Amino acid sequence: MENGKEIHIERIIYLLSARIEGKLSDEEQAELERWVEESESNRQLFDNLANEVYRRSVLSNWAPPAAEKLLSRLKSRIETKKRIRFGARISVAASLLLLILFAGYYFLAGNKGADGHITADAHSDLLPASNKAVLKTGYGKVFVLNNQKQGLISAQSAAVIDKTDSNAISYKGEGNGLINVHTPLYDTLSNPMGGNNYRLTLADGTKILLNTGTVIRFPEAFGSAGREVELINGEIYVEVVHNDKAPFRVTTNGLSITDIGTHFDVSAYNDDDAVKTTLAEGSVRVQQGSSSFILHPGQQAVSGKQNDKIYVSDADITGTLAWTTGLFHFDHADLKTVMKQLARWYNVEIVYEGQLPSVKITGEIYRNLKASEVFEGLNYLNVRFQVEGNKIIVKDK
Amino acid sequence: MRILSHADERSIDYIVVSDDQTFDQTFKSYYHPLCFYALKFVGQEDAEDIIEDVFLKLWDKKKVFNNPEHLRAWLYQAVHNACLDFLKVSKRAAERELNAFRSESNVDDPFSHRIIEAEVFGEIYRALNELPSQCRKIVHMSFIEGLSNREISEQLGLSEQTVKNQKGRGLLILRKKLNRNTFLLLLLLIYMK
Repeated sequence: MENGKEIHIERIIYLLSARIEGKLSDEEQAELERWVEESESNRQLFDNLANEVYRRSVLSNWAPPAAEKLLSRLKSRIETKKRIRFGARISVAASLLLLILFAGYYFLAGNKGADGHITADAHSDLLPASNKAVLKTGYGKVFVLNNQKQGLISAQSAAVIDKTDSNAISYKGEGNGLINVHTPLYDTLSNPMGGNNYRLTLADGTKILLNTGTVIRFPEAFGSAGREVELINGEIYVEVVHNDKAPFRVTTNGLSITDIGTHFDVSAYNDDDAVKTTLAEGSVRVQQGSSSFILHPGQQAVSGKQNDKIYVSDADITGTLAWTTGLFHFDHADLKTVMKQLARWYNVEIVYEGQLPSVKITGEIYRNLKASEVFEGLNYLNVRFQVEGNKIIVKDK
Repeated sequence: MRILSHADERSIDYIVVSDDQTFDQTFKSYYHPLCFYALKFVGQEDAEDIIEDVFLKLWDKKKVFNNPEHLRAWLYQAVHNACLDFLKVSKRAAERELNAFRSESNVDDPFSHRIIEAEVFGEIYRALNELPSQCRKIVHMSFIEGLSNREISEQLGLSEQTVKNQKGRGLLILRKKLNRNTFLLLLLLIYMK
């Protein structure tokens, strides 16, 4: 019933303290080292808390007068506001942001009180998505990118492929990437379910971010006929390097999106009913069959896969792009919508038992959490989540 | 109404930051830890502005919090969101090209670890600042600035014995206020010089 991470952190502080006091047993030493090795963030926290100079330097910067000075500045702002508002009462929007707590919060307050129960099964848990992307080149070579060292991956064809980061590859072509190829080679980048966001830079400099469960097919270099990328499944965020002579186009499910200088998001998961194109900046033309629209920033086009209809509405940009900043974001989402996202991220199947409660979920939570930590954030719901193998079982509490 | 989450204050039913006293105390308690957190994303001046805005919002909304942890979580979440929004807006086109996907590259970053760090320091900071004034001064000079008893006694014009006594008293109070592990960290801070 205890939150694993909570115990963890408290244990780590204990180990750290014991270490600095020189009271650490060999076993404890090994335990601490294992934890530190577990992730970069663990190492960071360890380094920071273990570093006495650092601790002292942080605290010596925290002067109460500085806080007091800002407080009085703030107070005068509040006073001014009050005066302006007087007579024109503004009703505060009733948009209550439901807050999802971070795991690890309670360890400091030592709050393990009556309401601290956790619904997730402590014994089986799911780790957040990790780097799993696979690149298949037109030559038929397959690269499991996580096994590749950073640096050159392939220079066999028109483009040079580099692994530029743990989760990024980049194509470099001649000049602006628009070389005269008659039959360009097509590569496929697959970021499977349970794969962390993956970045791709195309030969023309256009940047594409792939969400979990995404497959795209693209030419290694672009011919003069234009630049076309196919979204086979999933969701991408595209920052196009605009070129008047060679329009950039994303096609998916019979839909084509043509850039007119642009940053946009396309979501076309196979298990969704519609393709959603959301424009963050610039302008795009969305076309399907005989329907065609030009989107303006902040708009979203929803196109059904069954017909040629396109609906355009105002988009929730922050919500749509939350995944690009490492967040799950829900705005009055029903449980099924939420679970669908978790299913992709943790690469699991969702099984519903009994009646599904009709709840609306609003809030944000980090994606780089274990499933149990996300469930903890959803603890206020009257729902029990249980991990069994590669399934999440959802039922009434 | 008290806001800090010490053991003897668990009887609170809920918190509404609607009076000056609660507001001021919340601000003083959380300003530095939140700033520390925001500095991960933005510069000092922007961090100050962001925190001001978050507290304005806190004041305007008259939101009800179930417990101190709820309030604390709301504050960090609000600062976090404000920082991300700020980054989105402030990036000019050129910067955008250079730093494309910069926010994305933070995906693996330990937000919750950073909060934990901020709150470990925050707990120590709050506890220190609640000490009686002379006691606080001495504890600060000794533990944070790293001065010896003699140096403190010279600077404050007190006997070394008085400095020693005040330090002991301060530690006693801190031990009561701080959670055991945080206290241990503070002790390390003290004895490791």
